[in-house]
Order: sequence, then structure tokens, then C-alpha cells
Amino acid sequence: MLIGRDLSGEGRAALGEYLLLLGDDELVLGHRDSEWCAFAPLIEEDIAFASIAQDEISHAALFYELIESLRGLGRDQLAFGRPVSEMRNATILERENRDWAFTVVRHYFYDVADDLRTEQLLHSQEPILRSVAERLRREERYHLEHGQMWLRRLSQGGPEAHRRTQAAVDEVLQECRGIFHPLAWEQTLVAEGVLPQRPSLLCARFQERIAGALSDCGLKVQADGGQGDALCGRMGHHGPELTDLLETMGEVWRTDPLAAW
Amino acid sequence: MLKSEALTEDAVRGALRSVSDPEIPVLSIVDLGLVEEVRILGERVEVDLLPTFTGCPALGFIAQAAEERLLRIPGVREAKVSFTFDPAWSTDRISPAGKLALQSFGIAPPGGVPACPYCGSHKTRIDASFGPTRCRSVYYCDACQNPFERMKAL
Repeated sequence: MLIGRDLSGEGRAALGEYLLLLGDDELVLGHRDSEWCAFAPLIEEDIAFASIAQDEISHAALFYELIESLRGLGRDQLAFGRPVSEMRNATILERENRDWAFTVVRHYFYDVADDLRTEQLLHSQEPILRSVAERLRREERYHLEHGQMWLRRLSQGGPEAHRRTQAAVDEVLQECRGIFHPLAWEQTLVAEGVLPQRPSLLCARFQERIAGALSDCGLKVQADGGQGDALCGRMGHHGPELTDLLETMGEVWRTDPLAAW
Repeated sequence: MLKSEALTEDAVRGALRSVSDPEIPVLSIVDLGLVEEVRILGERVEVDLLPTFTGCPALGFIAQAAEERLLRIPGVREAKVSFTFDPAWSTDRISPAGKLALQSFGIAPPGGVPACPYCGSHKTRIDASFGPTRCRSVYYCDACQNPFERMKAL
């Protein structure tokens, strides 16, 4: 896949960073999704989350393949062979699944964020990024619909469901802003036409859309005052939850990193 | 030895009609709309395919089967099958013959209110967006009371 041919060295490096962050978000959340396999509250959801996990992990593989054509690092190496400090996923995505409400809320918020990001990629001057974004958006539409349906169902599902959903919203909303943490190389991507604007500027639209979706479901955006993503996964600062996740995810691969599966 | 002009794009596309998605054997990759470009360079044939769902596990098998089939065309000594993301594949690329093949295989094709593949009724409704594979949803027929699968519209 031809990518980044017309970019400067700095532009290619920035694009590599951005693709890594996109891939890492999808991989880590995809792994959390896969943990519901055989444990979801309904068999339909067991299947849905297995399917969504496959989608997200395939999207990660696609972003890693783009990095491979940019820098020559293999996708398995990228997925399984990096230390935790080199992972660029937003902190909220590495959090353990907690309960069903947390899972639904986090996934829906992420899907909204991802919708804004991939919409931005549709306006890239890199043709491959535009067509990849178009592909991903067709699959992601089903995730958004699924998330909306569950958010409504839980928020209207009786006092306990409502209470847990509101608690999940309170927990997720702050840390979710870390998805749009501003990064030094963003401006390079804008200057070289890879992105129409800095991705961190999408945060305001993200918060508007989330506020709208929550009020449609009778849920509240509680008073602000939090720190956003205090740990800051985007800078490579992660907690023990990601260490454990990577340990589990790469266990088989590490037995023989050169094996052809 | 055949002259290279005997090798035509139609012959290549015709040959690829016998290559199918391993999960839906009645549907050729031509009817599925995967064949984007065919290039004939003397005795070498290059084919660009569009991946259906990103990372679909069937893609590797499809590429391998297509290369093997191309090498059986008289006059072809080299075959290379690659995937390209540009343009993006969508279910709109499935041909009318492909849609009929899907329906007869028991999977309702995308587009409009699906007809039940068992009884033909349109009294059908969605049961679950996510089905047994990433490309299928589960529907229910209120006429014959059977669940059935439908290919997701992409």
C-alpha cells in the first residue's frame, strides 16, 4: 500500500505516530471486547462483542499494515512486541471491563470519538487514508447503532440499570477526553495535508455529541472539575491494567515470535 | 505456446468465476464484486482484489485460490493477486446474479426489506445486528417463523 510518498521525513514520522495511536486504540479496546466472549449477559451480546472485537482488531491490523509500508515494522511485532511504555492507546481504553454499563458507555463514547476521527480522515490528502476511512466507517456504523440501542435500554431499564449507567458515564466521561490529548506532531500532519485540522480540536464536538446523546437518554453530564486523562496513555504512561492486558494478549506470540501462524 | 494476445481480460475474469468465498461457496469473487483490476503483462497476470470486510479471515484463502486458478489459464506463467483499498468495497458491488446465489444459499442479500430465504415472505424483521460471522446479521421471518441470516449492507 502506497502511503506518505509526498511527505517530508518529519511528515512521515508524524503520520507513523498517528497511525500507531489509531491502531493501539483499536487493538486495546478490541481485546477488552473479546473478554466478553462467553460471559456477556445475553447470547446475542456474546456474539455481538465477539464480532465487534474482530472488527476492532482487524482495524488495528490495517493501521499496523500502513505503518509497515511506512517504516517496515511487522504488524505482529507492533501488536505484541512492544513494551507498555511504547503503547499509545488512550488510558480509558485499557481499563478493565468493570460491569456491563461501563462496557456499553465506554464503547459508545469511543465509537463517537472514532466517528469524528475517521470523518476527518475522509478529507486527508493521502488517498489510502481516505479509502481506509470510508471502509472502516461502513463497519463502525453498526457499532454506533448497537451502542445507542444499549445506552437507551440501560438508561430506561429500571433504577439499578439507570444508576449504574450514570455511574459509568461519570467515570468514563472525564478520562475519555484523553482520546483527544493534544500532541506535538499534530500540526505537522495539518501542514502536510494529512489531516484537515488537529485531531485534538475534535474534543469540543465530541463533548457536544455525547451531551446530546446523554440528554436523549435522561442521563446527565455531571459538574466538571476532573482532570481528564490524568495518567495520559497517549504519552506512553499506562497503568497495571494495560500491563496485564498485554501480558495475556501476547502470551502465545511470545512463545515463538518468529513462528508463522 | 499461445500468443499473448490470446490472453484477454475476459478470459481472466471468466477463470475467476470459479473462485469463490470459502464461506459462501455458491458466490464467485466476480459476482461478489471483488475483482477491481486485471493487468495482462505478456505471460504475467496481475489482479487487484478489494477486500470485503477488513481483515476477513477468508481473504488469504481467496488470494491463494485465485492465483492457483490464474496459473491454470493457458499462456499464464506468472500470477500475482493483491488487495487494494481504493476504491472501498461495498455490498452494492454484488451483481444481480450474486444476489440470487446468496438468496438460494440461504443468506438474504442486502438492500430493502429482505425476503425470507425459506418461504419468500417479506414479513421479516431484524433480530440481531451481529450474526455468526462479521458480515451477517440475524433476521426472523414472521410468516414461516424461521430465523435466517442476511448479509449486512456495507
